Amino acid sequence: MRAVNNMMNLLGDLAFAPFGSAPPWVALVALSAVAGLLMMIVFKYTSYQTKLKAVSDRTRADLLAMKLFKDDLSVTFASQWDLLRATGKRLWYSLWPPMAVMIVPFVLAIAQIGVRYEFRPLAIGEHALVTLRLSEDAFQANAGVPLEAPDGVEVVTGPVRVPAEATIYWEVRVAGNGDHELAWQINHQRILKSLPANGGLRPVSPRRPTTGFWDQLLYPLEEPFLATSPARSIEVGLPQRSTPILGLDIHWLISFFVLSMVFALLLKPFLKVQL
Amino acid sequence: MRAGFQLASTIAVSIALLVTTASCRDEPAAARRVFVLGMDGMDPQVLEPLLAAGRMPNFAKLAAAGGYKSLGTSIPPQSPCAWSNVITGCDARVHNIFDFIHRDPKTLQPYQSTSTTGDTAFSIQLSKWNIPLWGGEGTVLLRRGTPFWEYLTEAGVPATVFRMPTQYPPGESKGAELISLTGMGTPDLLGGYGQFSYFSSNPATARKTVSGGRIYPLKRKSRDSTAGELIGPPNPMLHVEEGEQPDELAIPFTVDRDPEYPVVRVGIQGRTILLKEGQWSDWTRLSFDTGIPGESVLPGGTMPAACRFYLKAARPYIEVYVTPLQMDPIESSEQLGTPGDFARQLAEDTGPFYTQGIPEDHSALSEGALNRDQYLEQAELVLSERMRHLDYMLEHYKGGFFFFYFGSTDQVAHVFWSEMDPGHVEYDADVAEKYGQVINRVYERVDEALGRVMEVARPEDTLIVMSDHGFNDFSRGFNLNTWLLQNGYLALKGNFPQDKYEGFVDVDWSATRAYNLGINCLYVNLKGRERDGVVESHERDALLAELAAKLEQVVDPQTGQRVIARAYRVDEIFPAADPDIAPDIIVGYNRGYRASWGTILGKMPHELIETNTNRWSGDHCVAAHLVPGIIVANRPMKVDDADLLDLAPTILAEYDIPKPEQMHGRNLFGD
Repeated sequence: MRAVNNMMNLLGDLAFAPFGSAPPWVALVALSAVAGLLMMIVFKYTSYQTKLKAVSDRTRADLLAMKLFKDDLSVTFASQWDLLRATGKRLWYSLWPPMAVMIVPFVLAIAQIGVRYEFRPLAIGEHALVTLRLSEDAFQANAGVPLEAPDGVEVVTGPVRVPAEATIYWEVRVAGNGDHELAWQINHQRILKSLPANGGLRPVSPRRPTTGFWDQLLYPLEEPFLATSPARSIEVGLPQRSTPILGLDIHWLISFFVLSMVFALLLKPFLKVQL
Repeated sequence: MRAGFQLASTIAVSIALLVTTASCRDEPAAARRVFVLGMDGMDPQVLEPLLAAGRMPNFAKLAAAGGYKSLGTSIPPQSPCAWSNVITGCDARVHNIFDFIHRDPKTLQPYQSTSTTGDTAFSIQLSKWNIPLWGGEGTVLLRRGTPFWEYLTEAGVPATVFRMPTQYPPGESKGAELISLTGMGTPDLLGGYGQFSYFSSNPATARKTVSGGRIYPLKRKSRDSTAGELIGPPNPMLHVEEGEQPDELAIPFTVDRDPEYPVVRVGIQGRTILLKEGQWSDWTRLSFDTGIPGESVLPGGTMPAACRFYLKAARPYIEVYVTPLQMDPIESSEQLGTPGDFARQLAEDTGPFYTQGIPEDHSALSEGALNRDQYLEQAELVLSERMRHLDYMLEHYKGGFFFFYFGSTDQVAHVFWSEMDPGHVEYDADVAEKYGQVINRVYERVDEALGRVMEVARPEDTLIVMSDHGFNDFSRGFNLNTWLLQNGYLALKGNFPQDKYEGFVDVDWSATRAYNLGINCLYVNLKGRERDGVVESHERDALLAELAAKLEQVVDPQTGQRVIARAYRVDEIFPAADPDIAPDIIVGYNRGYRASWGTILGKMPHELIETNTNRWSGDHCVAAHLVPGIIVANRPMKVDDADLLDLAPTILAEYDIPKPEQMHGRNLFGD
């Protein structure tokens, strides 16, 4: 999983590189357009286009039959039954094989967009909650472990140790720009967590993941903790990023889905795709 | 030499300003700019020594450019009445505000004078739920009369009216753009002036209600782990049978203490807040869930709120103070400003803020939930927030009329007067050593605020700073209802147990001719008006004359001073006032006196005059001539006896709008 994430991180950086310091919505719109195009192409070449065409023709015939024989109940019911079956078939032909082909790269791509649009780096003066979860044994032995804050980061409050959860909390304040790194020395291991401060659209991670599949999928940027590590997870409360488009402050994932669908539908006639 | 240079430069600046002002009157009326800063309770006795000492440089500059006067206040000089005079340019005959508290003559129940809850929505009952379908008025403003800015916007003048008291809910523009945020009179989420919550892990703590707050125990889960419930308003979605108490909404939370350090983690609704001793949290936005199925999508299914936490102590017991629950400016369904989304916009741009009308928590100080230093920190949070808002509003100001209100001058004076006034019965030289300058420092802060406005105002603009009333020492509390009882105007059904009769529970109305409710209001138990009225209308005049004369003769045996300076007969000072709302006598207390805390809501303690030991040591609910406010302007004022009623006609005249007929004041700058 780590190798996949490393490759995706590289691809993510490449994909976002052309947008430089452009406003975040520009990249989101552009990537939605690219995603719409790619979805259409993949759909065209992985779906059963002839079968979909047949289903579409059958649907049109059923609608026509219902219009022509609207006084004939048996024809109407038969056509409606046919329409229901056609809808099911259309759904199935969309899922298999196109969705099966697209799902993995699509989720990986979404994760890459998410690390840029879900959260933003801290601004100077902003506070963040740092949560370090340890294994039970490590907590017992290291409950007094200090947070080594680099220059540009000040510990405002903490530590607050909660033994029942084997967790230690700090509140930090960012005093200087840069890619800060918080550090702890636990059981002869140096545990690190990035704390990004300022900068435009860039990948940030609120959590250093465990080796669990979903954790690594959702937080692909940082090295996961090994099972032998005394740390279970480290979280930094980064602020949510807001990416308004045309004045509408909608969650980036909804904007991305809606825009990619719109672009895909606009491209459909040019790519001659049967949906 | 230096003083001479200062005088010469001040004169030169004044002449320049006058010349420029006169020459710029030619610009179109709607393009003129008028700035008014409202400083609640700014007192001439405090201001003048500071001006003389050079500690208020911006006030001094403004006074030199135009003038400084004392400003006649309302009768009674309570903020809702005074600001209603400012807003409408009319006295209580028109605006109908006579006190913080009025009473319904048909039920004798007290209510907040400035606003009330309107008709409830049409609803259906499903099982235990009460589901509102349509209609419902929400909160209704009870202050009558037309705000002066309605005339402005009608005439095409844009207006900014920031936290004007007695203006909740906010009005709408009649023409040009109106930007407003509601101020004093805006309730907390529980619908009152503000109720703090105080949590303690001390096993001796029992749940109880105190004045302006509630105390709750924190339940211990382990040595360092406790849990509590933040209590909100009654569940509006729950059907309640008549006579039943509705369940209150609650949000559970935990407080975990570090095993060694004086810091805690507060966990509430998925949020984690770290607090060290003496630390205030940022605003925490919460949501009270009513529990009705589909609550997240149903209107009113959840009630958004915002509050701040303060860790008073981590050991030996965890002691946490929580501010009164505010209506969340971002999510609240109540309209807190004009246009409707202004409060949300302001909160998104500058952060959540106190929406409660009077945010400084004097009740927490009086009840010991906060000490003086902690109260001052909380008051500083409010003042800093207000300064931030002033900067924001000035930055976004596009012209027209601009009003901005500061309440800190009033609230801090209420609670630190005894530290400043050696004549106060509670004055302590040692305490005064530390806190004697608190009020002065707040005055200096608002001088800074004036400086910021002066940076934006052009020489030809009109700039006014005014206060609604002054201040006085409140050493002794007069139990007016006790006096009425002792003098045979009020009767009880049984004997005379001390402090029992809150809310007039055991009053023998058939033998009662007058009663006091509110800070300054005395009512005759008039037949045909009051629920159990006994005084015939032809007896009323003689009774009022008798009461007024006797009240003005009451002397405090401890000091030898008269307790009441003026007993104003309302039929003389406000003829034709609304007979169902207006009191019959407004009691104007003398310096050092005020209505006692108990008498306001109908208590009759045995002692007639008591020493005021409450932290609320300064007040202004006395005879109006004893507590004038102040007015400072950059233009010469041609009226000698300036009054609050003059503000509205003056502002309208600045825009060439003729004074409406019902307004009582004059143009301060006119001939």
